[in-house]
Amino acid sequence: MKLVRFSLSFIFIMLVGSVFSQQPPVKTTEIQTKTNQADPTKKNNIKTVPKAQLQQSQLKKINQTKSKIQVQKLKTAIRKSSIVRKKGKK
Amino acid sequence: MMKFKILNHSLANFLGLFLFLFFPGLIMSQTTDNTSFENNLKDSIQESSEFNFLMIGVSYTNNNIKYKTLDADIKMPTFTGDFSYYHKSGFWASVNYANYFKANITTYETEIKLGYQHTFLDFIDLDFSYAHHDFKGDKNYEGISYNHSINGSINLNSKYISFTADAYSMYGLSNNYFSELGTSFNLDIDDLFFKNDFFLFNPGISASFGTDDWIFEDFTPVQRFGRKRFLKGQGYSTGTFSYQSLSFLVPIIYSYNSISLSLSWFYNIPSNKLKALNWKDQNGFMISVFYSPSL
Repeated sequence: MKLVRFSLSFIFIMLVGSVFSQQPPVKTTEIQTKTNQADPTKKNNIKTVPKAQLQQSQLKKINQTKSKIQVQKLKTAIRKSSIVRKKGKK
Repeated sequence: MMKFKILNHSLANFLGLFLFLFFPGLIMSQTTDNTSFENNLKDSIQESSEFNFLMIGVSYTNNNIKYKTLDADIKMPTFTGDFSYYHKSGFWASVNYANYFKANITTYETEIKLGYQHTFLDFIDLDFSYAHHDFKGDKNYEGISYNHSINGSINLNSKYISFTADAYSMYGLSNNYFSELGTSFNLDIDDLFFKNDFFLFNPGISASFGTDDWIFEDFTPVQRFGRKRFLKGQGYSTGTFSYQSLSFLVPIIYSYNSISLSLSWFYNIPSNKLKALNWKDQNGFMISVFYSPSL
């Protein structure tokens, strides 16, 4: 009986705990706004790092994407020029 | 009284259990919150990296070709221009122009491409495209004579190594199918000389396989028969999908804001079958300038 009660309590509490632990998704910008509102005096503290990280990561991602495409274009151009070998072919 | 004690005991048990289970739950919820924060940061990066952009590129290649029967290299220097638009949905379109300015008559080719690319799981790139091709001028400068081409490629990217598999088919004077398997080393550095600059060193090696109908596509029946018989006599089969060449490509790209400058060196070693047709090897460099503003 004790085991059943314990199990039921366990399940109930876990359910309640899991409901409370679920939070609606918050946009990064909102998190940053909340952080700054919470401590407006600390403009350059650790809380501003994510924004810098975000910008840096954005830039890196953009550069990587463009560079990947550029390499692909180079490969295609070189591939095309490699098949231009009909001279003397016959 | 006894009942009250049991009830009290049960309540204490329940509260104890509640505290034991719920507080770790709250602590875990903080962890989840952090994870959520990281995920949101990642999502924001992902979303912001989905952007529209133009890419305008101009390249020059010296493209040296060697033949066993010739002492000197044949040079086929080429200017190419490329204008592309990439939409954040993954769809892209491009117009490519190549001019063989050493030809005796005006010789150029154009290619209009429509494609779609998508990245899965942050490390798998898929790209599909259709191209319409047009060639005008000295036919000696035409590679494979084709009007339509369908291309597909998959890239698996890790931090330093990428694996590529390409498949493409060309439809024209003859229908040909190719595939290319390759690997490359990726080294990228941010803020190398200035803030917001980007450096990429991306040497790679790839092996090409394909059908060989394009070799004989503009031969007369007599020439075709003679050349096929010659190859058969040398121990090479024709009309099959087989290994064709090994290529090395070493591109170096330096970008600052929307401008990129690239210098690439390439070397191509034909298969023994193509060597039997007097092709030796091919090497050259390509210098390119790209302007790619985000829109």
